[in-house]
This record gives sequence, C-alpha cells and structure tokens, in this order.
Amino acid sequence: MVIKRNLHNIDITVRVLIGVALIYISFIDTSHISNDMARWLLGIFGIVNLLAAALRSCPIYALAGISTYRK
Amino acid sequence: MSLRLKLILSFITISLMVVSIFSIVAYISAREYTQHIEQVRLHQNNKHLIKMLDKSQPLLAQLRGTVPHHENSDNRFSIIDASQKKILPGGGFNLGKHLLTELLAQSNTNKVQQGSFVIGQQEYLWSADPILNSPYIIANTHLRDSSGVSTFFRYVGTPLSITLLVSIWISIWAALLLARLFRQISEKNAQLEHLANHDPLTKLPNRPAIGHYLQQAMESAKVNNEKLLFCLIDIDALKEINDSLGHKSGDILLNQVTLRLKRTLKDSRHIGRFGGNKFSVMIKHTATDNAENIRHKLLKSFEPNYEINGHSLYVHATLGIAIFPEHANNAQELIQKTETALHKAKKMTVDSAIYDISQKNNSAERLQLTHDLRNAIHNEELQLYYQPQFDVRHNTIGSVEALARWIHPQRGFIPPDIFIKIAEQTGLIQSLTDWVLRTAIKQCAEWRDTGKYLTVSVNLSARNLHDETLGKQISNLLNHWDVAPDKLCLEITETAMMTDPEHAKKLLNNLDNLGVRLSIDDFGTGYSSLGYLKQLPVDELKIDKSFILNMAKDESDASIVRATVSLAHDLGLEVVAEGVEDQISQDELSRMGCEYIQGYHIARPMPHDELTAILIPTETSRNIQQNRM
Repeated sequence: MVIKRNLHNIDITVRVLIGVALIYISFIDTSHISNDMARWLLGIFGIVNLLAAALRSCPIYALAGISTYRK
Repeated sequence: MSLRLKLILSFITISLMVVSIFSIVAYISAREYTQHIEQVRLHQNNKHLIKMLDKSQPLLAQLRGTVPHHENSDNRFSIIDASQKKILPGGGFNLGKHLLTELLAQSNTNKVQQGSFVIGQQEYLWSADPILNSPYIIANTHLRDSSGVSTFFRYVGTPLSITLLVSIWISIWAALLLARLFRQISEKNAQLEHLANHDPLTKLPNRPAIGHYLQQAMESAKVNNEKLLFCLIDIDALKEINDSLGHKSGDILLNQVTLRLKRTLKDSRHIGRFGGNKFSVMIKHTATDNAENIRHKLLKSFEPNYEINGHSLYVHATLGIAIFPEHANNAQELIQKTETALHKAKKMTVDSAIYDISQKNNSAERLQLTHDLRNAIHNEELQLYYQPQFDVRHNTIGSVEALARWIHPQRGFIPPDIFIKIAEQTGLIQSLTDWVLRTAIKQCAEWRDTGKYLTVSVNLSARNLHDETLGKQISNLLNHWDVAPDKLCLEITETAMMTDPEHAKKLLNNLDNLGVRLSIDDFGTGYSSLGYLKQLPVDELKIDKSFILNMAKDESDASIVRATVSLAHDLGLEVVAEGVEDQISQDELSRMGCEYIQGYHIARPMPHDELTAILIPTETSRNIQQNRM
C-alpha cells in the first residue's frame, strides 16, 4: 500500500516535538510522572506522533480526508 | 463554522466535562474514604488506651494520669462523665464543649460513637469509646488536614491531566472521522437528489424539477413585478432518428440540442428536459427578451444541420410559448398552457405558437363534455332525428337518414360535428353507433307495422369499421325486429373507406352478405381510387353537399355532379344528392338522373313522431307535400 503524504512540514515538526517531549517524560526522565499507566499512555501517544511524522502521513487525516500538505 | 470544527469543539467540551465530573466524584469519594480510615484509627487509639487501664486502681485518677501523655498535636483525648454530662477538667483541650454537644446529641452513650464538627475553617473528627462498668467515656478528637484538595490533586492530578490530554486527542480523532462520515453521507444524498431531479443523459433538470423551479421563479417574478416566459420545444424528428439510426444517435441528437440551447440562451440554468423529445426554457420576459425574440433565437438555433454518426440531418423543432402572469397564475397551469400552445402549433403545422387566451379551458370543457356524452349515451338522452330522402322515380319518401341529436341539459343544442368528433376520439363512438342502430331499426319496424315501408340509413364511423362484431350485431337486431335487411342502409364516408381500403372491403363484404344496403357518404371529398370503388360491394353513392349547394351558380360544380352521377350509374350504383336547398337544384338533379334527393328543400331532420305524422302509408302514397319542414 502506498502511503500518501498528507502532512505539511510545520505539522511534522510539531509532531516530532510533541513526540520527543512525551517519550522523554514517559520513558527517560520518569520522575515527572509517578503513575505508570499515565506514563505508558503518554509514551504511546508520543510514539504514534513520531511514527506519523516519520511516515509524513497521519492515518487519521487519511481516514478523515484531511491533508495539511500542499504541493 | 464548518461541521468538522463544530464536532471537534463539542467533543473537546464533552471530554472536559467528563474529566471534571470524574475529578469531583473521585475527590468526594477519596475524602469520605480517608475520613473513614481516620475514624477507625481514632477508635483504635481509644481502645489501646482503655486496655492500658488497671482495673484494680481507681479509674479517674488513672485516667487523669495516663491520658495527657498520649496527647500530641493531632490527637487530643478528653474524659467525659456521661452520668453528669460534663467533661472532666484536664487534658487542656478547649474544644470539649463542642465535642460534648455532638456526643450528647447522639442518644446511646454506651456504644462507640463517631462524628465530625467544624470550628471556623477547621474540621475535627472524633471517636468516643465508653469504658466498661464506669460512667466515663474516652473521646479522641483529631484535626483534619485542611489541605485535602491540594493533597488529592498532588496524587491524582497528573494522571487526570494525562487522561484529559489523551481523551481530547481521541475526541479530535473521532470528530474528524465523524465529520468525514457525515460529509460522505450528505454528498451521497446530494448525488441522489441530483439524480432524482435531473435527466441522466443531458444533465438537465427533469420535469418535476422544472415544475419546482418554475414555481420558484414565478413567485420571485410576482414579488418583483416581472414577467416570465415558459417555452416547450418539441423535437419532432427524435422518434424517427431513434427508429432509423438507433437510440444512440437519438441520444447524440439530444445532447447536441442541449449544447445549442445552452449557447443560444444567456442563462443556461433555465433549460430543462421536459420529457422524451421535449425541452423547456424558462426565461425572464423583458423588452429585449420578448416572446418574439426568444422564439426567433430558438428556432434559428435549430437551423444548421446536426451531424450525427456521419449523417447530416435537419432537425425541425416546434415551440409552444406561454407567459406569466398573462396566461397562468401557477406553474402547473403555465406548463399546461404552454402544452396547449405547442399542440396548436403542431396541429396547424407551424413552427411555433404563443398561447392564445381564447383557447382557455378548451381541454377542461372537452373533458366535461366527454363525461356528459358518456352519461347521455348510457342514459339514452340523445335523440334520433330522421331526414327524409325523396325518391325522384317514385315521387315519394322512400328512405330516411337517421341523425343523432344531443340537447345538453345545461348547454342546450350541441352540434353533431362536435360530439361525434369527441365520441370518435374517446372511443364512445361504438356505443353511440350501437344506440343509433338499435333505435333506428326499432323505428323502422314500427313504421312497417303501420304500413310505412321506409329504408333507414345509419352513418358508420371509421372506427366502426374495426369492430369485428358489427355484422353479427346488426344481423341480431334485424332478426329481433324482423326487419328486412334491405330496409337498412349503412353509410360510410369515402374518407373512412379509403384510409384502409383492404380492411373496408372485407368488412363491407361481410355486411353485404347480410343483405343490407351500403352507401358511400360525402363522395367527392376524399381520394377514392376508382379501382377500389369498382370492387366495393356498395349500392349507392351520396354526393357531398358542398357540390350540390353551389351547383345552381357554379357550372364546374354542376359538371362534377353530372360526371359523378354518370360514373355511379355506369358502375351500377344509385345516387343520392344531399344538401338540396332549392327547386332549381332539385329539377337539375332530376334531369341528371339522380335517384334520391335529400336536403332542407325536401325536409329538415325531424323527430320520429313529427315524421310519422306527415308520412302516408307507402302503398297509397304517390304524392307528398315536398315543402313540409
């Protein structure tokens, strides 16, 4: 399946920042969050964001027919 | 605001509300739970203290000695004398009064009691335990941690905010997906609506949509005091092209017509496909865009040939035009008027017609008349008149022509050409002919019974020629009334006979076998083939009155009559001249050898009783007053 790009560069940057920040506080410096479940939730959220940024395509955007990417 | 944004905002609001409600409920539950835990602890402290008491020593002194040692900032002990309802001094606890009030408010002082009270901003929890076999109670009071909310959020705050974040994130996802779903559904609905209102071939609005748009346009025209022109365009050749070149070619033609109409009109939005081969145009009627100009423009657009699959075809269009508000007040009526105009144009074989006010209600009136005629035939409200035919050779009335007359209860006399035409177009002609035949044959029998031997002529319509049962029916009637077949003469117009001569010949042969007389009516007005005429088993020929009426003045008419009489005689046919209105014509016809004469000069059509009165029984009559009317 060909993944069609639907993320603008700004969108990708925001996602990378959010993703890195969340992964940092969930898995690296865990002192900020004591609750394990919350930590994992945030961690997954961060990974999904990084993944979308890496693929340059957000699956939810694709399903919803949205694209921030303009040629 | 777009649907997507609305959904996102409402979903975020919902998640915020859910998280807030959850936090409040969690906070209340946590408070209740900690209170329970603390009170259990107070109760256990009391029990521990009571256990330490030595039963053999005096109780009060022991209490006073022991209790203060256990005091700390959080826990304060008091000793209460339940019998005297007072707090014993000592312990330095100045909240004892509140405690006593609370404690004594509860009825049973012999059991473990718990509660809380508030002084100022501070809340105190207490637990009171009675010492067995003594009037004393030990009460433990504990100041609650006033930082309850902040402590709660210190523990639950982070997970709650993370939950909030995640739920908002999921909300946005759900909102986006739902928005997409809604959009797809509404797109599909729009597609379906478009499909229902448009012709799939030309993509033009279809008839229901045209009616709808027209009504809207008329309403706005009414408000703005404007005129609206509605035009129907009938492509006459479509059926022919469909039949000869195939429906694909017909479709190509329709698309090309659509294209030309769009190019011709400034505003192409008001073109519609009204039906099979009909297009409609709705346009604001102005000084420049008046009916004449539009008509001219539209017809001109049809002038160049259409190129269809290698054929270059001239396609003729007929236009019908009606204008709002001059001709109609609502869409339905305007469309109807336009159709009437179109029919008129086609009937007159002109390329266009604008609705004429005088055509008003034409069809409605006809419909009513048809209905009335059906009832009149059914209820036998029609009358049969008889017009005598003078037998020149025997100088007597030898036969009569039966003619239907309709006196409408409201409208009065309805001319026969009108109601017979309606009967022919609506299929009522068969029952009308049935009735005429029944009545005429019965009358013939009645006359015979009084000694008047008359032949009765009955007119058949072209439609009767396709009635397979006609012969059988006539023979039944003749048998029933015991009338000799040669006393019945059936008149068929030349035109009816020559439309389908082969069929007519077959039917006439059948009728001839019955022995009835057959006559060709209105001879000279159709296109008789003499070849056929020779073969047809007819007995007489009626010259059309148009020739007879003028023969006294017009020599060429006289020549035609003379030639026709001669031709008929040569073919062995007798001749009836109808429309004789003066003596000169009658004399002339007698000279030419015409056998029968019919017309106002002899007698008008009259009811049977009137006719019976002037008839003399045949055997004795050789003279009759010819001028009786």
